[in-house]
Amino acid sequence: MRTRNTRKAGLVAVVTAALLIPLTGTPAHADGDAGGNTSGRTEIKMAPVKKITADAPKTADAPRNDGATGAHPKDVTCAVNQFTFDRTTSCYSGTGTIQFKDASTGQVNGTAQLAMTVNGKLDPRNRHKADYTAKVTLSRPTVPEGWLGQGAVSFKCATCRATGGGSQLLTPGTTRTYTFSVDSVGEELNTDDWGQRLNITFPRYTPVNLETIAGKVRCDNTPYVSPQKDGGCVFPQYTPTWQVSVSDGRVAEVAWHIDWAQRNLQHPWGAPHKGYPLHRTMDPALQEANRKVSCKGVPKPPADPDEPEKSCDEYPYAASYEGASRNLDYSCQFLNAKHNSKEGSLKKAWQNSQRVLEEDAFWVEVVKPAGAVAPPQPRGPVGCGSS
Amino acid sequence: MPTLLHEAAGRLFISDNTFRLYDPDVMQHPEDDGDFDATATGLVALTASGPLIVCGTHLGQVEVTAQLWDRAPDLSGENSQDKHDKQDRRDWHDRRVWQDIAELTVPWSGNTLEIWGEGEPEIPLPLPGPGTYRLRVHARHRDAGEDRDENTPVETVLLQLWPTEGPHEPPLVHKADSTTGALWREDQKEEKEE
Repeated sequence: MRTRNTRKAGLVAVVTAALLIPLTGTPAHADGDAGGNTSGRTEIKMAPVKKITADAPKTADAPRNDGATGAHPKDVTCAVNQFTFDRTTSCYSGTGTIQFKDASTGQVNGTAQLAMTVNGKLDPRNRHKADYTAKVTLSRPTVPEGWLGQGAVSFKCATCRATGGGSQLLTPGTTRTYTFSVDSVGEELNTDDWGQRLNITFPRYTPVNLETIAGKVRCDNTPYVSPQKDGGCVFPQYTPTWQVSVSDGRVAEVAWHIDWAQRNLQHPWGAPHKGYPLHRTMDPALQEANRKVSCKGVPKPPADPDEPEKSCDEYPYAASYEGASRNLDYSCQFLNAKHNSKEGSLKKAWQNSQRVLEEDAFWVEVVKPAGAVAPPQPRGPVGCGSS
Repeated sequence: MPTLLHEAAGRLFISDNTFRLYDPDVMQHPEDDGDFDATATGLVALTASGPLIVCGTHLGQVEVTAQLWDRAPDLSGENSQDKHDKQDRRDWHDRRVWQDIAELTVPWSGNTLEIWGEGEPEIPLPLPGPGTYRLRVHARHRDAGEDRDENTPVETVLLQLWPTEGPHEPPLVHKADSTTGALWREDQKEEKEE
């Protein structure tokens, strides 16, 4: 048995020396070899990788100002053998085994283990500056050639330009890091698949090629959402969640109204993952049409000097394709006018930060402590569109 | 004598009772979560993105005029010179025309100011450059209802900006007659503690 030198430099020298010896008689080859044949081939078997969206963070986990309404997503956490993504971050994690095979007999001469993760971070305010980091770890090679793998990571996309990557010696047990800066070229709205390729070359064996799961990326320069000159990018397949809290004194009455509507209308409009997402509109004509149906003509309750000024609130929002002119399953309520205005302003700011564009889907989650009950209202929500 | 350097006007479509003044190179600042505090004036708030104007109209049209002056225009208009000499616009000088008038200091890091409602911009106003400005906001027809039709007056806002130097002056309310303004000047601290 060969004794391994624990010092890496020494080990590489030993391995290199071993490669100068013909394959015949090398201990790593189990039984019968071609004697003098120096070519082999590799095969890589990766564990299946599942592609899933990250759930919107719950109130307790999301980092936020105390009592603030709105979701502040963290980067997705990486789970092994998954491709996970939210609106602006992604993580690919794959593991597998490299087999070193004899080219003529197909016999497995040895193996090595491979792990690769790729973290992606899009900038919703700049389409020219996404950051990707790939980490590659090769370990436990059982053939000498496995100690001399040269790993190169490249970026794959149709409409982007990526700088970085490069090639590094994959010393077993050592994680190598490759960074990329990715520019979505131009100013058109485009959707593209962004992925990475790992190529490992070993002495005397065919190279290994691994492609990660690509994330679908959408980049645009829509005005109003952010400075038009820089645009921004998101993962459009992730539906972000607008969180509105009954504990937030700025918007509480709106939150309770939405809570009532999601539990009492025919459908739970906007409630996360219940099948009825809302879709944003900024179209003035549609918003006015929605508001005309939901609020105009609805008698306003007489002003009460002991109550704050009231205004008409509708749900689903007038600023959505599920508003009253297109959907008679809606609710309206006269509630605190400042809550009504503030909730709209906070929601729009959140939508812009997530690049929720015209017709984009979003969820609406009412955040309330367990057991919380709506305070009594002088005039409760009604299903205004229901007869 | 104060001189009017530039004027722009137009109709905005607004939602949620607000419209904004943005630097087009910044738009909604990353630290701006949409919250605002209009309690000082009941008319205008300063956010991380810039000034935000609150309106009585919840969803609908607002008529906005924006003016750039070389120095503070007189409120009554007696000593101001209108370069464009529009006789029929003289009434905007008269404070009696407005329900509410307030002003505050606005730091500005860009060369342009754009007035945005919901969606596309309507009104750009070029500025002499980055610096500190004083913004005076006038508003009328604020109390004609949150939802209006063709028979209801259009809420009308006049914005006047001029460059200033020296220490920041606090917000100043020249006139406060509307119930809309009274609503927004109410202290919300009590509500937050409920």
